[in-house]
Amino acid sequence: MALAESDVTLALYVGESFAEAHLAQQRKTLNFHRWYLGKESLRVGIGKVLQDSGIQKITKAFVASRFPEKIFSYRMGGSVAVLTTKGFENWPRSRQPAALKSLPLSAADLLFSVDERVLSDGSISKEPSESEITDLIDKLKLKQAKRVCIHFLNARSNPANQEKVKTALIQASFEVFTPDATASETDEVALWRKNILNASLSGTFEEIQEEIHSALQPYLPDGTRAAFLSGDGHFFDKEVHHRLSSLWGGAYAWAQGLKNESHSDILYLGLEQFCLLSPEKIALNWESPWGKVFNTQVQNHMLSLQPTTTIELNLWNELGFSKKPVGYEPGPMFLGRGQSPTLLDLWASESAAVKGLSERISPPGIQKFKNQMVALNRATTSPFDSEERVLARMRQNAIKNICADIITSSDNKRLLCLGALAPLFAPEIQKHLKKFEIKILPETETSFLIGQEK
Amino acid sequence: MQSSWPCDLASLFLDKETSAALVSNEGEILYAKSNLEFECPGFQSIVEYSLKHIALKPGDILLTNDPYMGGTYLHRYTYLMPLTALASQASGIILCLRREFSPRLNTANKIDEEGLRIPPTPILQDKNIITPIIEAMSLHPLCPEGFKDWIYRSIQDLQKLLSTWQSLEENLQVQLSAAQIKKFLAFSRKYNMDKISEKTQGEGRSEIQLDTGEVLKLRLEVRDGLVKADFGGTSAGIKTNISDSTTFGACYEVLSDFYNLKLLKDSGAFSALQVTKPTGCFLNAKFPLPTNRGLQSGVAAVKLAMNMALRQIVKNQDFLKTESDIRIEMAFSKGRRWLSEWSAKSVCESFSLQKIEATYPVEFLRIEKNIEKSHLVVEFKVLEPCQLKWNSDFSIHPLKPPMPWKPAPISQIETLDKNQEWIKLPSYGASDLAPGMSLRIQLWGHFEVFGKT
Repeated sequence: MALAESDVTLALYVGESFAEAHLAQQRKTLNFHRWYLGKESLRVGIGKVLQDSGIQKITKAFVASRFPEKIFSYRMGGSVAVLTTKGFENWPRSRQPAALKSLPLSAADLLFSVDERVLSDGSISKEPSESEITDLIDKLKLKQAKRVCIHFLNARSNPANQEKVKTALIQASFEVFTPDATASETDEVALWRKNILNASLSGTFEEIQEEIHSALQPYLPDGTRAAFLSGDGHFFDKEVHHRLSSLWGGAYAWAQGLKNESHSDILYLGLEQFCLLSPEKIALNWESPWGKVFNTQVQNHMLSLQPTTTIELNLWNELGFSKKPVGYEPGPMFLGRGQSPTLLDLWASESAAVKGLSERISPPGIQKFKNQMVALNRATTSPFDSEERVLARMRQNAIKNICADIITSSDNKRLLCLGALAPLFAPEIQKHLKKFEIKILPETETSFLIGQEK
Repeated sequence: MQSSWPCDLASLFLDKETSAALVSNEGEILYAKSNLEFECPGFQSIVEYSLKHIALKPGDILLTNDPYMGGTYLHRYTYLMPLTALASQASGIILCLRREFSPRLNTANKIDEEGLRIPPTPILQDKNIITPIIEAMSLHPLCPEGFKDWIYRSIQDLQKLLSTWQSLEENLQVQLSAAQIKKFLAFSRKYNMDKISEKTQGEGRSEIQLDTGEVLKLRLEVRDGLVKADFGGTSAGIKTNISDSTTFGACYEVLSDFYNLKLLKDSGAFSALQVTKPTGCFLNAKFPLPTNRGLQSGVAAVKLAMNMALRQIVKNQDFLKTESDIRIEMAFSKGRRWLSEWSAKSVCESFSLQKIEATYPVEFLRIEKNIEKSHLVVEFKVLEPCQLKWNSDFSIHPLKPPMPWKPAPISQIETLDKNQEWIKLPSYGASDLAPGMSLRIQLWGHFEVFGKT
């Protein structure tokens, strides 16, 4: 049956490994689908949700995406070259927190300097020469750089030198990225890091955009493309400076959509992430793996335990949780491919009710997980006497840890809980947090709220 | 209860703090963290002293920055607040929170001339802020501007932390019995001793001459997982002085780095180290000796001596690195004061050149840093007259590290004179700079191994 085609909107929430699509008409759900991207591509999944609903046309499509995060674990930069003021070539590297042990954002062989200087009052102390710019272009071509970031000191006070180099580079067909001159932050490195990340994410981001565009082209009005949501509430398509910020687009949509639920924090229990959002608080910076990055977003606290945090023997030779999640490649053991037990494995039986997981549950994987837990239990200093007790105790420890994290991170005793895993975890959290008021929202809410135009 | 629970809980509870500790009412540190690692063991002295002299109830707050009672720099203030009743059935827990306010580079002949020194003093009791005491502190001639308001803001933060702790108690099991604490600390001690035992045992010696004239001598013994640092033969302080707890903390910091003991920072873990010093030496300075210079150059000397001695015992071919750190204070007209700290080893995480140039009349000319080689060169020009004060942890005398290490190049601070020649300055001092004069800092913190690059 063909439905009326007016005011039908599609909202997509694209994570690193899962995607959600929500089709709505006048705030009513027409169809909802969540799928694993390793099995079904973004394009196929989008096509499926539209075909299954019998929709011929949609008015608008909105996207919030955490997909670019997937490439953070790899060396960033790619073919991105960075130009700095001469004398300050490795300044951003000098400011990278040692404890984080991340690789530098820019590759050393793609780091170039320009003999220019603008003082803090905006006066130009040295202008870049034409010959130096010409030499620079030759060097960039030799290195096959495609994207170039210009990071000149005090360029926000007077961008003349920056613009001169930028113009020459654009004429030479480079894609040029400059830091946000209107940002409230003046710390150069926080702005430069964002600029490099925007440039580095460009390739992956454009691929996702094109995949979504090709899936939606037959359904959207001519010339209309899906609008991506940034962490500060801007809908964008081609604007490169919002790309990094799109990682927090979902958080913005949830905070805006739920702001009428007075004074509540949002506990997001998604398949890939557990976090606590404070909708009424804005963070100006993101504490990234490379240090502070200027990025306006809803205050977001990642819980210390995540769905794919691994279970291991801790310092005390007891069963405990590691510090890092492993993600879904290969993922928890109960999904068949994982080799390490994870937090979500402890909820394997209940996961059968979760869209996106139910289709992938592997009974041999569940057994393998149990065997591994039994083996790990035997290796502890004080083993439990039965498999059931091991699993029950680990679940209890996980919930207790999550609860402690919520208490220490939230100023609020009212929590709105959303995400695919909310129905599994929230009731158990509520049992411990008796003085908290926890409201569980429908699983469709994560993507539904993204589609609500502000 | 899982053994990791006290650590997990403390780490969540103190997640947003840079320097803090949870201490039992017996003065045992259960969990400590600090951006200045050597500070961690000092929390014990603060609690022990405070509980001996002042009766405290949950929510009462003490304030101190006294270097002779577990404190370090005078601009780093510790707030102490019981989270639970100290005489209850479960063991009482005390929160120590250390925060920095208005750092200055003051060196003098007496500690009370270096800044406002506050012995443990109640500032909130029975839910009432003791305003007259805070007022009296703020009237002290060396009290930094805005101190009173800063204390009030900190009190609010502490009250919030108390309410969070109470919420943890209401919702989850957070009380620890004395027996549980004993077991927890015994594990930490054993864990550290086992890790130390994994490497070679033996004895090492080192000696360091400081630019201020003191001589530090160390005999280090590692046996059966216990580390004994004996500073016998170390001279009395001339201009460099550090307290007992700081000396211990500096030794432990090196041990923790060397044996990878960073996971546990509690009294049990610290007990794998024993430190002895002769009475009257500069490593167990007593009131009223000044400590500001010692906290930089004295701590660095202790750390270097420990590092060199440990490497004689464990034939470790890793690169030997020192902080090689300098603090510079520039005073311009209209009370503008810029204090900066530069280090060869550490990164300049929170430095913004644009912000500094927008706030102070300086122009940066060059910054080069090689993290791997621990080498930093900073060059900048002053645009207005200023008074310059500096203090460093390096010596202008070449160091003689044990084989197989080559001495690192000597770190330097220099000014550019009228003839455009660089003039070397001593490792600490004061000077006036005219507009247009440049300052260059060259720091080296890396000892290479002969034949290894």
